[in-house]
Amino acid sequence: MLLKLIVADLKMMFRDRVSLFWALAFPVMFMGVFALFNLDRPPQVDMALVEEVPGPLSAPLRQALAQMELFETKDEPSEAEALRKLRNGDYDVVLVLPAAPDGEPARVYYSTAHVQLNQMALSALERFFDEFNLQASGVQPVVRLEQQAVSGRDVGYMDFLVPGILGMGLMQYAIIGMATLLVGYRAKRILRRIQTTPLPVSRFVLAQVAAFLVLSLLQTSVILGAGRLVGADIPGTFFWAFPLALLGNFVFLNIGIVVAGLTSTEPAAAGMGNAIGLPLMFLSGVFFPTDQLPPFLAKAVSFLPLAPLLEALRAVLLDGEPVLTAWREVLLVGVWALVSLALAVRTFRLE
Amino acid sequence: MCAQDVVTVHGLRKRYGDIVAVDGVGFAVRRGETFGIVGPNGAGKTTTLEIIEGLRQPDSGRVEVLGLDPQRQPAEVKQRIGVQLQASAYFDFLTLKEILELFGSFYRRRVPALQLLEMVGLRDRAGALLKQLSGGQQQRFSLAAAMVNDPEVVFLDEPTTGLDPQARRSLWDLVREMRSQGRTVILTTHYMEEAEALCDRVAIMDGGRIVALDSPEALVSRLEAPYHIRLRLAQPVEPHQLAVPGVVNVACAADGLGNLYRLQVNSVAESMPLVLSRLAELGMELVDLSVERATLEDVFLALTGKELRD
Repeated sequence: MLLKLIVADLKMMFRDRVSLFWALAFPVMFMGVFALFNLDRPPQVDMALVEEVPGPLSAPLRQALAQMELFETKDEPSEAEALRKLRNGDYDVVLVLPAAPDGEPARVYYSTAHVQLNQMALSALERFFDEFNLQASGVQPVVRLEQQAVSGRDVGYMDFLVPGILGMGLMQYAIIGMATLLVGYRAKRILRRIQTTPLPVSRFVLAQVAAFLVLSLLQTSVILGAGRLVGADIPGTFFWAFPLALLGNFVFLNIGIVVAGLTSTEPAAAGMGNAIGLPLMFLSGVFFPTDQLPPFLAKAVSFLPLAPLLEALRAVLLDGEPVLTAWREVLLVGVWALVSLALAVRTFRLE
Repeated sequence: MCAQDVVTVHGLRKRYGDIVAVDGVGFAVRRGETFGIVGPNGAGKTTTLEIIEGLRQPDSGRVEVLGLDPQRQPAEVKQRIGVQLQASAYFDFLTLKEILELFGSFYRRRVPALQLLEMVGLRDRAGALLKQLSGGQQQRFSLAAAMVNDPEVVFLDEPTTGLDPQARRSLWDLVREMRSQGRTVILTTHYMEEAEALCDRVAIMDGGRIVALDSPEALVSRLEAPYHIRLRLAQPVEPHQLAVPGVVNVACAADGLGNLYRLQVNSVAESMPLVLSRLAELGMELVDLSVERATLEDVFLALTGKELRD
């Protein structure tokens, strides 16, 4: 009896193209847009080079600069013009080379707008001038620094983003989808009509929850698959993402039922769903790590359902850890599952 | 309770806050009859029906449906009844056939979906969505949906409200067919002519109470003046001048043509000659004359002093 109902519910969800778009295509589009921005690009310093007459520094400096990815260099004819542009933010650094090596010093101006970036630029320039001086005076260095690279795991922005988008997609579709569906069923008296049959309304809602859970597995596959396609590096196994998605989705479905209980029209339900979902989305670490938030806020959101879910998803997907290393987060989401279920049962109404 | 009764109701009361929706209602419905609950909006018809169907708890009173208590054995009662709710919709994204099959799966006993659609004349729309149907077709579909479990008792709440006359007739035929299949039909309506056309017996409700219960025929006959004589005269006349013995009431009936009078009389045979001779005395020219039997509309007016309006 219930299986037939779940199948019918899924059929309806697939035929409702608009909702399906929000469930599947929208999170993928979101990810695609972020991929276009290429937020993993290394930082760059825009530098103006001012030399009225090419001096002895000119050739070796240009050669060295060409090898450093940090600098994007342009020539400027006059110092005054270059400084004007520096103030406007067109340049980060202005380097003025003297005509002769002795006498006038080389001068560097830097903007205070990007201090960290400019510190990197200044130390790179200082190193260049030191070496130039050493070579020019023929001094042999006493100690050399030998460099050796060891490849380390670099979590790029897209890698970080994909589990975030997964959590966001699950949450938005579950809360708003469930809330608007139930409000619609109530307004159209479909719930009352079910009540006239021997099927208990609770089982009717249960079947709907089950259908949403099945769809969340598809959502998880599509979003993770699309993440791979846009080039996210997800070394962990996808396997544990599925039970985590189910658990998280269950919480959000219950919240959707609560929202339906507190509102009477579909727009109101969608509005309240967004009022809950959007702050959670921005604060819980979908797009940015929560450690960039004020500490008290980061602490607060870590107790709400989305943040621990994302934490657990990132642990298994990005760090390739077994799901139990995130047991605290999983437990917290589990507690939310029970609390939200109790709230859903309390607020559910037929009319 | 008589062995023939499939539904009995005793002393039913239900209040919502300060409003008493049902105020001591009692009646019994016999097997195989079509029973109407009529009255204006807000009379308590729907609440009464929903308590019988087991959808609402009464504050007090007793209900028995097919020998069962809908409060204590709701699932058992629901297996054997069919319900059409007032203004209820079905799923937007399932076809007619799929909806009927889904609802059928909730019951032990079920009728094939195509057979149901055939019955309500929607067989060729089996693959359509509900929103692709006209209002009358949708209402016929909801009748089919109330029959998925081959019910013994069918409850129809305002089945024709909002339908055009043609769609209403077609629905009436379906209700008569249910009756001819031996089902007990309990319907509510605020159209008196619908109750007269369909119901074996009618309970007239007003303000949460039943003010009369009998066959439409008997209710009308019990009126002080069960006949109306309608006269159209060439010139206007003072209504009291038409009040010959046996005439209970004279009313000026307003229509575009004017000079129309309605005389409520006890007996046409006694009053008609007197009316005609009075007209002759007054020297009035008679343009048109008709005699009608009073309707449930008049019964309602006589019982409550209120006009029944949509």
